[in-house]
Amino acid sequence: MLVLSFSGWASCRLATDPDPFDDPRGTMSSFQQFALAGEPDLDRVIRFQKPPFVRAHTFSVGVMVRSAMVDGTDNPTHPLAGAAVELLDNAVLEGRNGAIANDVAEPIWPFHVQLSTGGHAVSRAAVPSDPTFPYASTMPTNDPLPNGEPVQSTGITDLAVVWRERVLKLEADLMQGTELTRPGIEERLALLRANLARPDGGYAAFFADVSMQWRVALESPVIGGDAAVAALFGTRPPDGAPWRVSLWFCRYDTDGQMFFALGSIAIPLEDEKALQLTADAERRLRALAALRR
Amino acid sequence: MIDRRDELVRALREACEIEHGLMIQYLFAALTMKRRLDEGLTPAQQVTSRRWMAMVLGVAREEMGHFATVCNLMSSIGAPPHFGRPNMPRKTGYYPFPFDLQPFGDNAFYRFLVFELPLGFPLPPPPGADLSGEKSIFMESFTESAVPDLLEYVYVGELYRKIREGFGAIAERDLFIGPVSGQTSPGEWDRMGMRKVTTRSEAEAAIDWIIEQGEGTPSHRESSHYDRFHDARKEYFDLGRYAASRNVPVNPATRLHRDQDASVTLIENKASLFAVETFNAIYALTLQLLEHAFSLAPGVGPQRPEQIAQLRHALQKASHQMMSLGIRTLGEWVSELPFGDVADPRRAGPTFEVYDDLDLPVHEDARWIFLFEAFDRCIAASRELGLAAERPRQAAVSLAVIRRNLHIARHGRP
Repeated sequence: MLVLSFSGWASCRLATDPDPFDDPRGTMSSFQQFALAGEPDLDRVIRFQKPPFVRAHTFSVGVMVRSAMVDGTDNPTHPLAGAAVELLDNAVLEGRNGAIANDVAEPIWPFHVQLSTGGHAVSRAAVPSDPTFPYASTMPTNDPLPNGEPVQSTGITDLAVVWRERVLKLEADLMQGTELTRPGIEERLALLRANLARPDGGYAAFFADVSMQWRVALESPVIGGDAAVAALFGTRPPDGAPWRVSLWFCRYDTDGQMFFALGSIAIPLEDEKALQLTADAERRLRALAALRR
Repeated sequence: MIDRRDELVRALREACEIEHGLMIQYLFAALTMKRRLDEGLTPAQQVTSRRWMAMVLGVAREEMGHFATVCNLMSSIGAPPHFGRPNMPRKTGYYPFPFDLQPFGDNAFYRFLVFELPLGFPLPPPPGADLSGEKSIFMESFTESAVPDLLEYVYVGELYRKIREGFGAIAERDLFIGPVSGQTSPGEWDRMGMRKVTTRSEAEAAIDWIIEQGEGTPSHRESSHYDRFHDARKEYFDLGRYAASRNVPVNPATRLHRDQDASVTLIENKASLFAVETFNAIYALTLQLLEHAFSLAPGVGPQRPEQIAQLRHALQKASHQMMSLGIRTLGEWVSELPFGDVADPRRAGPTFEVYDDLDLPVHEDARWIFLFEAFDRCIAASRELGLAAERPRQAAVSLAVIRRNLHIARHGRP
């Protein structure tokens, strides 16, 4: 069994209740989620890698494999150690204003996970048992976070401290701003300052409360091709059983429009001896074919 | 003077229509506002416009809470809720002020301020730069109005004061004959605010709340609807009255209706016409979901109370989701569609037309069939629109999910 543990910041710019889930700009959002002046439209898409837009002075987006354990033993040289993790196919938090699920209790759909490194990529997706209502297969659970997380991974105990530093940087940006950029910076500063001034900590305090977890089995065929599988798994490829993903979104930075993503992917591997036998058999078959030619 | 049940019911029906009509006028102004830089807004205007849009939508939500509260007031005295209303425009002879679909701008502000005018306040300056005290179109309408003497009023708050007097004039033990379980509760109206009514003092408190939210009180006007519109209008002037609205005409419509009493501007583009008709079908379905929800009273009739309560909850939830996922999503989208041919700079818009009587069948089983058939029509039309655009495609998915949830509530399976 290969267990990949991953973590990192993920971008998700989404409208929230009572705005329609597909409101492109945000209007009355309960979580203060807006496309500020000059920013591109909101789209709800969860991005683990290279989002096309991020606000200045926020966290660096990138969900990466932090460790690879093979049969319970850490394997820092495994090809997938350090690989990039991504949700493909424009995955979104699919609540639809409570029609499917309420805010912060939403399924992720589609749920198609890719692992990539060194120019190779493999992926698998969740396959819903009811295609007419696929969301049921990826509803969140309420399992607690692993001990010490996410402070251990993020190093953040108080978002307000981070936001105060952001305010200073944005104030400096404002001094250098133009007629086109200043309104958006001012709007963002106003939201940050208003939250920081609230006795209850505003959305800086809310940061600590958000935690969603999904446990999803990826059952589709492995996509990526033999060469990618060979490059990313070496001598022990996946054995075809479902990959089991455990994913937390914890800590939503409402200003940064980012979640901290944390979790693991458990990938059953082919038995090494069986693999050698298979390889032997293939070798023999190739030899037979060569003889026939 | 209102001092009989039938007179009170009539006044409350009028209040329902007014709250409903105000809500739609506010929604029309908000949903047709420009939102993006490529529509000609500067970044600074984008900030201001979003704030104004949020303000107007916030008032519209509160009007929805008023509307629900008036339905509860009706239920408390044994009357059915009232979701019908005449199509717009209504200039004279119905309400004492004209009801129009006006895009965001000074004409809209003027109307909104008059609707919410506090008792004893002078009329606001009329639209335009000339503030020299022209005769108000509202006062003209009033003098020509065919509204019966029984319901003489000029401003919304005035109507509510008469209703309040009516609740005071009829003996309490005779008045409250409706089942309490027939009223919707604040918990079922998430964040919209509304009141439940079982006694005269609760009725008076509910009416005072509606008046105060609209007008404010002499010592506390800030955050009233009037005050919010007043401040926004001033800011609108200070910022040079920039074109915050998309180029939608006043009173757009898909067709002529018998209950319109002034000219409308008929949408010419065939594809836009189909889109706006779909929007109107979704709006009508939302009203019917509300109507059904308000007609259910757990504990009254042969069905199990918990079953009725569950169905009512599902219907209310569905109607609220239709407001966000259908009315707002498609309402904004149709305000970007062409009004006429490609050379026509005008845009269509959400016309909030009602094509037929909204009344549902008397029998429960038939009601559900009517509702599911309406869902199917709305989903099919949205899917067709969704072949060419993302927002109706999303609306079709959302409507299908809402229909599924209701089907589970009604039949126990998708």
